[in-house]
Amino acid sequence: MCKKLCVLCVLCVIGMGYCLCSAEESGAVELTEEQKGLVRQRVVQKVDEFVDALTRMVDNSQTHAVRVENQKNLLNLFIGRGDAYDYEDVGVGMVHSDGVQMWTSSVTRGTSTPQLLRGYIRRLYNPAKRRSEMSYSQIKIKKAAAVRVDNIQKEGDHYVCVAHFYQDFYGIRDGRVVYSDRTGKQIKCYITPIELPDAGVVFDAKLGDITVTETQKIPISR
Amino acid sequence: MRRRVISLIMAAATYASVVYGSPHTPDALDVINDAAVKSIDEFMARFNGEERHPQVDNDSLSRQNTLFSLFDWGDNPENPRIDRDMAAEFVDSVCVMGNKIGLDNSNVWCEVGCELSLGERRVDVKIILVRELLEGRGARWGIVGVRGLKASGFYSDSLATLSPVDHELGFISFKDWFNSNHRLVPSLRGSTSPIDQKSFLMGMAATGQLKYRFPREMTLHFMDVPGFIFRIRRIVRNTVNTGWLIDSIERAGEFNKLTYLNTLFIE
Repeated sequence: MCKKLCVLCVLCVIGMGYCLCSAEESGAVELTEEQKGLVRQRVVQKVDEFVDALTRMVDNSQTHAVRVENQKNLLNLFIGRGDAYDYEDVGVGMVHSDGVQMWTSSVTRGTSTPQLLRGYIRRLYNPAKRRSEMSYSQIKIKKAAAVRVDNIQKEGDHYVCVAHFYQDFYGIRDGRVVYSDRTGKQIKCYITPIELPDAGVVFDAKLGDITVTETQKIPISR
Repeated sequence: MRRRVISLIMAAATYASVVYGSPHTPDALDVINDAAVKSIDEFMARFNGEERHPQVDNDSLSRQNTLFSLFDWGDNPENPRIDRDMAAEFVDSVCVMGNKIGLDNSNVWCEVGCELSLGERRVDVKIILVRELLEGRGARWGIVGVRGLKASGFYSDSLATLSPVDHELGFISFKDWFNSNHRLVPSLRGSTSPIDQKSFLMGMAATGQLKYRFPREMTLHFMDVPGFIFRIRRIVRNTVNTGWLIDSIERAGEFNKLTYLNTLFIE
């Protein structure tokens, strides 16, 4: 009887070990609904930080130092700080990215064009020139409508998801709004679970490529 | 009842444009943006009855009404893009179907139109993808087909004459074909060996000569609803009938679905 019990215990230990190894091999485990809720909150917070930093960076009333600081903070929200980066794909090894891509559009142009995020951010505010490279004396950017977070998926040892939000853009010249639009944007987000001794698992989120879904005209008030 | 349900949605679809005019104020845009099907995930959630269109009442007909709101009705309510009776049949079929649609099964096919470039030349292709689950690695998209290289003139159906006596010379003419007439090399294939466009594109891309420029449009083809095939696309419109919408439905038995699928792959 005792011998049978020992064999059973050994089998159980082997079985548990096998299960743990399998979970480890498969990278990140599936998230619970509660964890997905936490991921959503984290992503919404990051997108808010992104738009807030963007808003302050283009704001003429801020000092140069504040604008540069916000530009730096904004880029820190992105994977590879918006610069070129390499990552490991378990299937093929190291993969190179030239940097976070950003798609932009306008109501007059219609189509979206890709560029690197760093270039787009520098066009909005070039620290060397201490001004925007766009043809407006003033730019206003603000978030419109709530952020929606979709497609929370496992991808190797981390998770990914997509955040959708709308952003209003106003180009001002000589104190008058000469261009305004609302753009639907999507950001790919990379989520890494981090185990903290006291707080348990927390989710770190980095922002990635941004695409434009639509550009809508906003009437210019005279 | 069906007509009433459809007309409710049609009225809702035109509401924003009629009331707010164009262009819309930020407040009016908020209404549109809230109603827009912003992602394929949101489309699935509304299709599967997990979420509802914000302008559809939460009552016994909310599932059906939300399904009707997922059709691209077009700009003219008097002349809708989708046949109303077929849409009603489709909605009935979905409501009794029981199971949910999702990307992680083999009955959803994604078609991405892209512009590529080879030197100065622009090449439009359609890349067909499916989602698959890999053991221990989770979900990924995989390219299963390519269309458009033939129309772009990368090769033709014509067959070149590889001399019937070349075997005696160790196929010495390959040097001429490959080095001086490289564009004609695909024409050296056997008459019963069609060119696999996916391999052709991947081969060219692997040499680094073929560059990706940008996507043009994306379409998802669904074959899960019994008796129907439907297609979704992103429609951009300044009404609440906007975003990822069903822009085409067809009645189809299993055999028709196979024929439809073939048209995705064959040029």
